[in-house]
Amino acid sequence: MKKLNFNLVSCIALLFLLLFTQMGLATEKPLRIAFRGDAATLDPHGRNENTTFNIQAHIFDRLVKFDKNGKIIMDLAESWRLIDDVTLEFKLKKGIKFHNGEAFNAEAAKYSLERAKTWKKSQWKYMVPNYKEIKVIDDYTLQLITKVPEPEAIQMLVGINMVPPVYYSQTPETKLAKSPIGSGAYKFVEWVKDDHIKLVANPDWHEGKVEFKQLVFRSIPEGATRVAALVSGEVDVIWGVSIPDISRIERNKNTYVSRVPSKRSIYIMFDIHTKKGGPAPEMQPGLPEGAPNPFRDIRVRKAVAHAINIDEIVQYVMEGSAYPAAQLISSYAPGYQPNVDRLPYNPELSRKLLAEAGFPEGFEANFDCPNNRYINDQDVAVAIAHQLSKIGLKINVIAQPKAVFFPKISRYESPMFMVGWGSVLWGPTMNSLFREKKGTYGRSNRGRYYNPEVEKLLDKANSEMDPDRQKKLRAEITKKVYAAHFVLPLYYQENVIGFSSRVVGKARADEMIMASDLKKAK
Amino acid sequence: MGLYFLRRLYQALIVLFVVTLIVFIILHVSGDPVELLMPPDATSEDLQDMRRTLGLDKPLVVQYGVFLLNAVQGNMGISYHHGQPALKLVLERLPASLELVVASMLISLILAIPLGILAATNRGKLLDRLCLMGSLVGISSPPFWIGIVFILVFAVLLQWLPSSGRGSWMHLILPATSLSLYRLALFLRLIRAGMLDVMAQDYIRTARSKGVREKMVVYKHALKNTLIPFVTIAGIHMGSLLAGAIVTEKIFAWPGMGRLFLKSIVVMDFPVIIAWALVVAVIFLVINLAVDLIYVYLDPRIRNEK
Repeated sequence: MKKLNFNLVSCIALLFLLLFTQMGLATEKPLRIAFRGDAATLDPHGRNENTTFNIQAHIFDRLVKFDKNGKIIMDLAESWRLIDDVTLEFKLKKGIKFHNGEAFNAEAAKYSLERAKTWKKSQWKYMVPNYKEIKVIDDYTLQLITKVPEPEAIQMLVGINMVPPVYYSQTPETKLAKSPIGSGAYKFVEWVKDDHIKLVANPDWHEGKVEFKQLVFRSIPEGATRVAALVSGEVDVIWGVSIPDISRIERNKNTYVSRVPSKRSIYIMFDIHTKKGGPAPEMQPGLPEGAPNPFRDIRVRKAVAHAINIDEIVQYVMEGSAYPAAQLISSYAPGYQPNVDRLPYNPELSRKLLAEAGFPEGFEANFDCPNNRYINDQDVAVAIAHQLSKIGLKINVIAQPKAVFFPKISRYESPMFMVGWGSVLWGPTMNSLFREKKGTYGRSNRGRYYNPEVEKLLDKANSEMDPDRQKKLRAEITKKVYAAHFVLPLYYQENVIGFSSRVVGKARADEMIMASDLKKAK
Repeated sequence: MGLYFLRRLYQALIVLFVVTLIVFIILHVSGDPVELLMPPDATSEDLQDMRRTLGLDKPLVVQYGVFLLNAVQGNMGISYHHGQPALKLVLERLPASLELVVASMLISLILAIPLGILAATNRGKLLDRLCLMGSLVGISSPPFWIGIVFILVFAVLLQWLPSSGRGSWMHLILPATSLSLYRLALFLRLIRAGMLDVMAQDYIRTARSKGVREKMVVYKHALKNTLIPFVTIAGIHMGSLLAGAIVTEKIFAWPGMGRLFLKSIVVMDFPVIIAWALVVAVIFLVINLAVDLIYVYLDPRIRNEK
């Protein structure tokens, strides 16, 4: 026993020794930002997903970008103007070099846009406007000539990273996935997959110097561990603080949180196409065999809308960390339309509407939701089912992992389901949700809404370049599609970012964390 | 012996082939990976393009044929999500997994074997009861909970050790210890039970009656016989941990194979899942072979058969 004690003591002593020596060695501390996941790839036109894009946004610049408040500002472009309905001209900033010394110019911009559009594994194709030609006028003038007028071309380009053409055209794909070269605020140093990515400040960045010279992105999947790492001072910024952890961070004297409504909205969609329960796709397997599909009737959809008490859900299920929504696009975004409202909570009216629609006794239906995609997704669905039971509906919540859920709803196997939406663009949102599935349209129209009038109006809006007429069309279409109550917006999630007090920062509406926004505390 | 290895190798190849076939079929009937791969606002045309690019639009038989053809040349395909060779992604994480598993197995074995022997030789006494009670706690505490408690105590409260990640050996202590507790408890009980069983055998009584020293009886005769079945179980545990100590890896943000596997399942990254399954199958084959070889060493009867 004595021997064991001695070993234990010496072990602990050694431990302390190591700790102190490590502390002594640390000179300028890097800024350490912890996300839930790691970058999937560092190829700037590969995987299109938040964390991946966020990390890449430190290495690459774009032509235009969102600022902290969601306004579009110039990045590598100096200015842009519309020459005619289909010709967008960019003047580019001069004297910018990529990290490997290649110059940024119109050729590089052309190459980058083309790579994002035509590389077969690009997930950013839809974010490059369909062009007939990209013309290099001179070294710093670029014209994007689109096939049809594209009113939202500028907003689309916020996603397209600019790359040095020589390096990207001469390097094998699998190497590009792990050795990125851009023109951004930080240069790539090292990537230990699933652990950390190390970057170092680019002294020649076109926006000037950044406060933190060294940057480390950590990947910590477990929320509780992320919070522990922040509280114990191992990281300085953490993404995605879960609701119960907010108070823990605020109680600690060396950490704080910053909260902002997120661009991500959560909504319910109904199957309004099938006539009765039965096998998909012609019938609805989520309803009892042979039973009529109640959601075809707008009165039933309105009844559901009136029966959902969103304030209760925000307060009790989301613990205040959500904001009621009347439409999918959040209020800071350029695509937001101020002319739609939520239906008020009114279960009496719901019962009346149900009776009018011929369901005085209610009905039974499945309600699908993912259980690993959005914050508290399953809990919210269960709460809604409970609220609907008060007006006599028997709603069976079916919560499944996203890998099962999304293919299922895309096969039209759910009469009513809960999903999220993260786009801030008006056109792509409308074209994806409210149009017949055809060509590039209707990808997220999983309840098969079809309104010939809306189709026509959207065709018009898609190529309307006059700002006033575009504005009127948007207001009209938005009003029309939400009045169908085919999509029932619930709330916007909240973005909660945890900071160490050595850093001064604020959560951004676009769910990003940008090291260049952050300052050292005085 | 050469013939023996040849036979094992041939069996291994069949196993690997069957593994790919089963995993391939399960994956491809389970859904559409492109739906999860592409962002929600991508258009249906983009999705169709991606399906063609990844070859997912072809009939299943053709897809499997292409996969096999590439696989025999050592190419397990490119990860849908990471754009890098799938096999490489898995193998890159093998050292991290090995480090964690070897450390945690060492902790469990070094503590479990002596404690198990002590418990068995002191049956019914205080030490034995403490061991049994402690192991009950170890077996019944969920690894998730142990991990969180360890982080709270050692990283947040005491600030002795880093909460997560991989780097110095200090990063290894918390995950390896929390991973070892369950196996420590289990192994302790196995060794204790095995020892008690063996100690009641005739040959132990014979040894004692011949006047062999008690130490020799315990360590040479009893322990060696106890270890024979134990080696198999330890081997299986080693294999399953290498396949992925998923919960522990997630909590401690350990960049091992389990986390890659979990992530790949969630997003249906088929090439990575298949590569992972193959690597795991190989690990099990190697461990089984090692277990058999240790058997030969431990049990002279097997040795003499050959």
